[in-house]
Amino acid sequence: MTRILIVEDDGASRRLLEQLLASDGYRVASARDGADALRRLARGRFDLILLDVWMPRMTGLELLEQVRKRRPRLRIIMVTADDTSATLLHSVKRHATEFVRKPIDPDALLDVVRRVLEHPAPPPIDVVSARPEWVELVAPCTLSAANRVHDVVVHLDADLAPEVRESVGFAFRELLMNAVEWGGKLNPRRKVRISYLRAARMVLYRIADPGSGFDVAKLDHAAIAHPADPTAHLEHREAKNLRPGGFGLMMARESVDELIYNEKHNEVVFVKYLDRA
Amino acid sequence: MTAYLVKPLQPQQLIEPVESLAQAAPAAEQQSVPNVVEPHVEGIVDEADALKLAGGDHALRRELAQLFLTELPDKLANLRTAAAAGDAEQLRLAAHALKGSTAAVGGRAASDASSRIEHLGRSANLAAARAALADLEAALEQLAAALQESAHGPSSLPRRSQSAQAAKAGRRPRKHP
Repeated sequence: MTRILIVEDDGASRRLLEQLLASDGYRVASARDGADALRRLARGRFDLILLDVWMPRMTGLELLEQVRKRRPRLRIIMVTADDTSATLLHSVKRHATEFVRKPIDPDALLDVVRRVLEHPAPPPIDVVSARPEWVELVAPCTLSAANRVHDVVVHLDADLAPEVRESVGFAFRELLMNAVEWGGKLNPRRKVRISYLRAARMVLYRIADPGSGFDVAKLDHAAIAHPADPTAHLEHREAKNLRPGGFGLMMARESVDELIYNEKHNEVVFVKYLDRA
Repeated sequence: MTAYLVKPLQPQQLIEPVESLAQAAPAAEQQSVPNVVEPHVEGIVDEADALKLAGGDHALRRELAQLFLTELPDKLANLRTAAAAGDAEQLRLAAHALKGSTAAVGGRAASDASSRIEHLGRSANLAAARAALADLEAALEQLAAALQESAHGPSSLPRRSQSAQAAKAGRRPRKHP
């Protein structure tokens, strides 16, 4: 039976999690602080830890760091009402598997638990820089890593106006997916490097993929290669037996203020000016 | 009363007036405190939310309420100690703890009030955080009373805090007329 350790100092929250997970068929143990958790981990086998962040004496982030030294592949879900960028980035840096926000949505939490347990522990995302104004991540070229990177970066923009957040979020997702899918060939051993810079009047993103780049003129299956007729690419897609679409890059370009590729087209920078929003 | 309330709530602990904390702030700080925090008195307990969290289990719902009430005095003491000491980081942590525990029992107003103090603590705005304490204490008093009432009948907690009474009546306490 799958065993889950809950580490939570608040009695009501801990009881809530115990009951929720037990009712879904998991075998559950609880610890009320970091020292208690380390004792339980030393004595027993666990498949997953649900870990609160702000606990007295030892924080969840400190405990995460200690557990990672002993069990680098153990699945760990951070569960917290602290949704600051710093906490999120430090969780990623210490290779937390997932991040769930309080107040808990029981169904959503169970979905995350099931998903995390069903899949092998994903290759970690490395945090090169965790400064709020300069975040730099290196992630394996997989869709799950891209989704996790997207969640982190979208969260960094939480204070931006909704329309700005939406447009940069769309561009970022489109370009990141292109990078891991076309540049990285969805190969977890290949890495994509993501930088996020935040200044007073702009937000800048850079995505560098490990591929050899591309020639826009040869992207006849993408709308961006046919500026005079944005639907001309559709017959090329049909001929290549590709799914309908191909508007992503063009729409990404429309969503931001600057979008610049390097010469090889395996690195892209885009900018949104905040004082124009 | 069930066996869970091993430490009966002390009204003195629960409803400590916040005026002393406000008075502890330097006069210049008091004058500069913007009146930015509006009291939240609606939705003391979101019963639907609380029951949903408990998976529709009324017995678990009551158990969570008891756990909350048992731990509340210590959490509140941490908050007051941090405020009195002018320790913004401890104040943020104490408010964060209350935000989580109140949310677990459906205490939306108290959770919102805790969240405001957490943010003020993070930005080290102690003067505003002290001012916001009145709203949080009022919300906690109402939440505790509502949870006790739903579990055991009407609460015997006396209403002794001026700020709490004012918030209960749906108006902002006037500390600086």
